Amino acid sequence: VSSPIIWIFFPASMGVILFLVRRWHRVSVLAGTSIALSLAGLALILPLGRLIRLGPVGFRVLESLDIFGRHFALHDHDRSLITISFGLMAFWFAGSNLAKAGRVMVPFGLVFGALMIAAFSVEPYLYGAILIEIAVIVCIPILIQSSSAPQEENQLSSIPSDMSRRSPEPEFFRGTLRFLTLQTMGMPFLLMTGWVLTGIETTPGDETIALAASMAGLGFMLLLAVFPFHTWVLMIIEKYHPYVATFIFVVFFWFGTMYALRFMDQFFWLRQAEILNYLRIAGLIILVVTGSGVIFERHLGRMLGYAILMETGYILLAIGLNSGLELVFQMLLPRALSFGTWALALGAIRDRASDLHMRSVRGLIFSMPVTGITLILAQWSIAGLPLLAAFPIRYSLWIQLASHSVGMGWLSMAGFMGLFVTGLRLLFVFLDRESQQDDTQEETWQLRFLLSTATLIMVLVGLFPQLFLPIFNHGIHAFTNLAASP
Amino acid sequence: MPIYTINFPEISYPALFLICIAGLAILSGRDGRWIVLALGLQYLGVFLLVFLSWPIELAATKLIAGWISAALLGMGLRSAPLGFQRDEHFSPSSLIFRLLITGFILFAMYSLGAIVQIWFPSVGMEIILGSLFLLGSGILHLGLTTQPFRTIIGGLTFLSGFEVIYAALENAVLVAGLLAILQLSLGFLGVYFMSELVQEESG
Repeated sequence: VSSPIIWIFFPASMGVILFLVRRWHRVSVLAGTSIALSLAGLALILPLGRLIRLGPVGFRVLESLDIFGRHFALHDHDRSLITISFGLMAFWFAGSNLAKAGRVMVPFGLVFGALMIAAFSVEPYLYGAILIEIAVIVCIPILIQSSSAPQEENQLSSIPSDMSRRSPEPEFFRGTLRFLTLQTMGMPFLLMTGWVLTGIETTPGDETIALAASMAGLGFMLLLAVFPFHTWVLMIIEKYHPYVATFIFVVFFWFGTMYALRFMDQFFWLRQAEILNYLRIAGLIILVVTGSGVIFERHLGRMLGYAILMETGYILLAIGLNSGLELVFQMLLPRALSFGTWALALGAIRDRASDLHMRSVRGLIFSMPVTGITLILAQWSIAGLPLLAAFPIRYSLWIQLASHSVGMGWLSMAGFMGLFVTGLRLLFVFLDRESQQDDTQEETWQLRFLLSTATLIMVLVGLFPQLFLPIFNHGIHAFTNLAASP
Repeated sequence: MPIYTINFPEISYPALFLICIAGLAILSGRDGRWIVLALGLQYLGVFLLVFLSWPIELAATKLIAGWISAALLGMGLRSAPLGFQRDEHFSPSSLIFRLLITGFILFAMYSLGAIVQIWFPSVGMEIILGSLFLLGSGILHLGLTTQPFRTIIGGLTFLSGFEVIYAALENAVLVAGLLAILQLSLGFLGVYFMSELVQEESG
């Protein structure tokens, strides 16, 4: 047995099997969550490439698998990253039934995750760009089915949904088509970088390095939806189920970041001060653009989209700060927790309101109190409000950035200000009681329980970050050169 | 000496001609069936250009995967609603614009060819010209449409352009296999989009 068979081919095959039995939705969700959790646990305890003794029997899990003369390799030092990745998927799968995320999210989600792990593990790793593109194609039915599938049972709200079937007009596909187009255009740049890099190894020169850096830069801008290639994120979250769209974005950008770090890990010239400075500037531009964009936004889904884009800005800032790399991994917990809660709350509101425009959610807090409060708290948590989950990381980033440049430190506050002010606006809208309003409670106890628990964990992570966040630091060991550099 | 360093006009010129004719038909075509047919023809041109760089059995993967994708899209069209191109406007002026812009791509292809060859000196000029035309017409197609069927055609054309030049630089079997899977996945996605539109029409 080799590690790629366990963490790539097994989940992909299980995804296909679960797709065939998607009729039994709850069984499929339970099985998918259990598989993702088991694979995360297995990565935690199973050493790779070393002899394991179970009584009289001894075996070894090989670290690589050869296919067509190239190999897929997951090494022992990648185990933390695999644990975190499958843990992340299990977290989203667990909530998918309650969020009514559609029947294909879990099966295709497993295939999607397996493809992203394969993209990370293929050697030469540049070929991973093609696997990422195939993963994008797998994402599209997940998004479309989440919004077009008829929903027989309404678990989040007690009233029947009038939005349960979205009409697939050509307009409906626009976000996914933009997503597909931009990712298709990004892939060649990443693949070509590999060819140029071979030239650097044989005849290094400033011109070749500039060409490789430009190609890699453009490829990753398209991959990570960096401004001005970010519009598809907003278009998708506006049209499709927020829980499913957020799952795709969080997982996709997580692996996209890991893929970018793999590049940096392999090529020392990508860690030069000048490149890091460009990354910081790109991160700041994203924060300023999204921070100012979200203030004027009136659609609740697009607000979430801006916050997701903002996270990419913070990630680029953290990578750009030499000492901030551990923060990239620590960010995952608050991100998954806050975005998961936010998306779940938004899904519940989407079931109840005619749309997610601000005018349609006036006085919402009187009929959905827990949902409304949780949504605002999750938004403020992503902003970096003290006592909430993301605050310790944001604080650390702001301090480190301000030590580089005070101006940059101030500019990086744009993200915080944008989301904080938007949260205040939302609070006023939620409290704006209409004269004829019916205050019938529209939350189920399951939804209240899940959202309250998530809020409690967000506060606990914010209060005691030293207990939760350092666990994620181990992810950095997958990048041996980056981990070794000061 | 690798075959792609030899000027091989018996193969490369017909391939370029096929690609240009097919590109023109795809850009200016209104009927989905003709567009699919032109896509099949385009893949024949792509196969001939890739054949200059790869052994025939490997180059054939491009042709087979491309034709299967085209066949999938053709089958999807059979079940697609009649009005599925309703967001496309094909006035005479639009047709003239498309023809003019195709001419512009041909002009740009000849202008840029020499510059691109400086970056990739080991690649023959015919391969670069064919690749640039496909990349250009693919991007143009993607930019001109909001319709799923045409976006998939544009994506396949763009990818073909990249594959033609990448084949001259990299000959790994795994890459050939993955790119073939990607082409087929795009074909399936096109059918999926059309089936969603069918559900809307019947529902």
